[in-house]
Amino acid sequence: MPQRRLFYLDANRLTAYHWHAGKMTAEGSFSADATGFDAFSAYLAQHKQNLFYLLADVVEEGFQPDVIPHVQGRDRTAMLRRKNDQYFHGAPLNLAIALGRETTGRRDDKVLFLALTKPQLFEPWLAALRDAEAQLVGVYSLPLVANAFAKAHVGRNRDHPTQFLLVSVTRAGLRQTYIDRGQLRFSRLTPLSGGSLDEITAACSNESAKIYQYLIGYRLFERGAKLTTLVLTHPAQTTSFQERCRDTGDVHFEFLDLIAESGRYGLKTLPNDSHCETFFLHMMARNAPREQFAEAAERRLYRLWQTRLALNTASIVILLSCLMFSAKQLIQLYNLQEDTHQVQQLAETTGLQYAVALKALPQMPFTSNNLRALIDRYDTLVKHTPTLDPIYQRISAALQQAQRVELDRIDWKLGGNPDEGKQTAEGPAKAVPAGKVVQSNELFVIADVYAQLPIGLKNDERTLKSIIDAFNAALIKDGKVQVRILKLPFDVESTKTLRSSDDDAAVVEVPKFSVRILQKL
Amino acid sequence: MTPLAKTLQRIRWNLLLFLTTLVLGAAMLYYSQALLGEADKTHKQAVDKRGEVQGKLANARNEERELLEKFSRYQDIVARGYIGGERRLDWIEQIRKIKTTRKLLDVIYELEPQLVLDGSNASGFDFMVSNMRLQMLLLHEEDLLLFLSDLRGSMRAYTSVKSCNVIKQTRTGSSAQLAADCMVDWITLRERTSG
Repeated sequence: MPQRRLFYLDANRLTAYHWHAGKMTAEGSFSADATGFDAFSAYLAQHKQNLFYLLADVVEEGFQPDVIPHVQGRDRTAMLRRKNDQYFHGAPLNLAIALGRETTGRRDDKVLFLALTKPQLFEPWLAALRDAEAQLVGVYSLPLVANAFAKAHVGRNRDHPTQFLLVSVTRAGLRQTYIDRGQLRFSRLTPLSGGSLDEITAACSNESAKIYQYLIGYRLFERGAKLTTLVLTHPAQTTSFQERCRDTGDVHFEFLDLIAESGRYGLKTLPNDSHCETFFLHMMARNAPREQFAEAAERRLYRLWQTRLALNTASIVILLSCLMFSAKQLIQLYNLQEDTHQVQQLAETTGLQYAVALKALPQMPFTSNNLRALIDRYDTLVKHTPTLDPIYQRISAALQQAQRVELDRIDWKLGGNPDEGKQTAEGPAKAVPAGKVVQSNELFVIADVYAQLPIGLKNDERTLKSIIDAFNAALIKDGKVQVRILKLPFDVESTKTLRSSDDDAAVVEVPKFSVRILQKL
Repeated sequence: MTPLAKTLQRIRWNLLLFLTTLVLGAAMLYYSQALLGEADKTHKQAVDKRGEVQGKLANARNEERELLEKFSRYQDIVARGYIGGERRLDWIEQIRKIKTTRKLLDVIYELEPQLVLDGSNASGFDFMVSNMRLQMLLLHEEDLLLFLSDLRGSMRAYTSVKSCNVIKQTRTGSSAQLAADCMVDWITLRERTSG
């Protein structure tokens, strides 16, 4: 950061201070003549890259309250310029402070116009600054800085009156600044001829009474109310002030410890007496008021410095942010690589375990795939190789239920088609090779049962049917097989001779029937 | 020189610094992101590989169990003598022995030449089959069932009954009550020779 140098300007001379972290060092005092200006230029040449603040404490300062229509943008700027020119013609060091809006009517803007009305007091110094290409932060007046301090004071002491007079002593004289609800309304500097304590305290008392009348006259303060006057004094001199500045019916004095306030705001070079210029200079450097008097052209180099600072700050912020983000990424990268390493090690260990597990597999004369295929094939073979026993046991049990059924023949076979024709008497059906069984989706145990019934029931179809039904029901009792009737005894076949039953010569056939038992494998 | 040009000239080094840090920062971000992306990719690959190997290991344990069980079955098949060439003499002797033991009336058989059972698969073995027609005279159907059971239990071949017709005997002068006519597959396994 560049060094900061503060200039205190009164009617006679300019004093330069070096300011650093609350420490004030007086570096030179320059008289307002050619010698002083030259010395000042030389001084500036030594401190080219510094930031410069100018604090004016002069009598020639105008305050003009006014109301203007509520406009914004360029119109407002133009109007303010016009008004300033109207009130303070020929004073380039001017500004306007917004005091809020009226509560009635058009709700116009209340504005306080200020100007340092004697430009020739400033021009030589400003010219020197221009010539030196100095980075001028701004031109401030003491009332502006005092107002900032007063605002902070009221903010800290909530029960303090909002309208009060701040009295301070500087090298230029006695400064009275009137604050109304946190806003600067008026300020006046009374030069003191000698500067003795007695003169100061007397002036404080007298001028406070005078300004009370002034404020009443301009309706800035309510008649009859007591004006609180806050006097900044060195504690060693407070008693003297108290003795001279006694409360009247109109004015009430309060004394503020200058040393305590200096300490509160971080001024390390404490004043030796009640003179406040170093205190206000410090307040200005510490937190410069937003408003200042210098024209934009005077501050161009300061703006450039601000731009450079912004660019440099942005560069640093970008670089640091990227560095931090990259560092975070690199930490993540490191953690990820660690994790990856662990995962790889685990994979390697698991791979070794897998190799060991593979070695532990039984040593076989052929591959594991062949073993699987062999056993699967064998299992299919076994699954498709039923025995006769279950069907025989089922038929035997059914015969127990239907005792009048007499068995003639059982044709048992494996087949994929449950409806294939019954076997001829020449022999059994051709065997289905085991391999073919696999190719069929379904395989059945097919058992054709041929049986006969007592001849005496030949003409009793109903009984025959009931016996056959009972036999069938016994066969399918557990629901694991299906039974289909192939032939019933009372079917009339056209290929055979049929004679009446009372004919002795007739050929009478024993009632026969056949059923097919199907069991799905 | 225009005011803007003057201004730019005064702040040119600052602008250059700003642009340089901008480029440098972007490069850092890009490079670190690329590194991280690469590391992430490697990490994912490592995790995938770990998962794969762990899966293989888990499968290997299951596989081990399965193969041990199947190998045990294979050894059982070997012990039963299903693998190897046909032992027709043994079979004949065994049938005769069962007939004697079970006091069967008559057992006539006809063993056809051996064939390769179709439907053989890539097991490295051929399933060979010999069809036998078996004709028997029986006093009771249980004789047939016991005979077939004995065949299954004692033969060094897998026997599979494909059909069996049992007919009630009506002829006089014979003690046989039933006649059985069955087809039985005699299945053995032959290891394939390469080529």
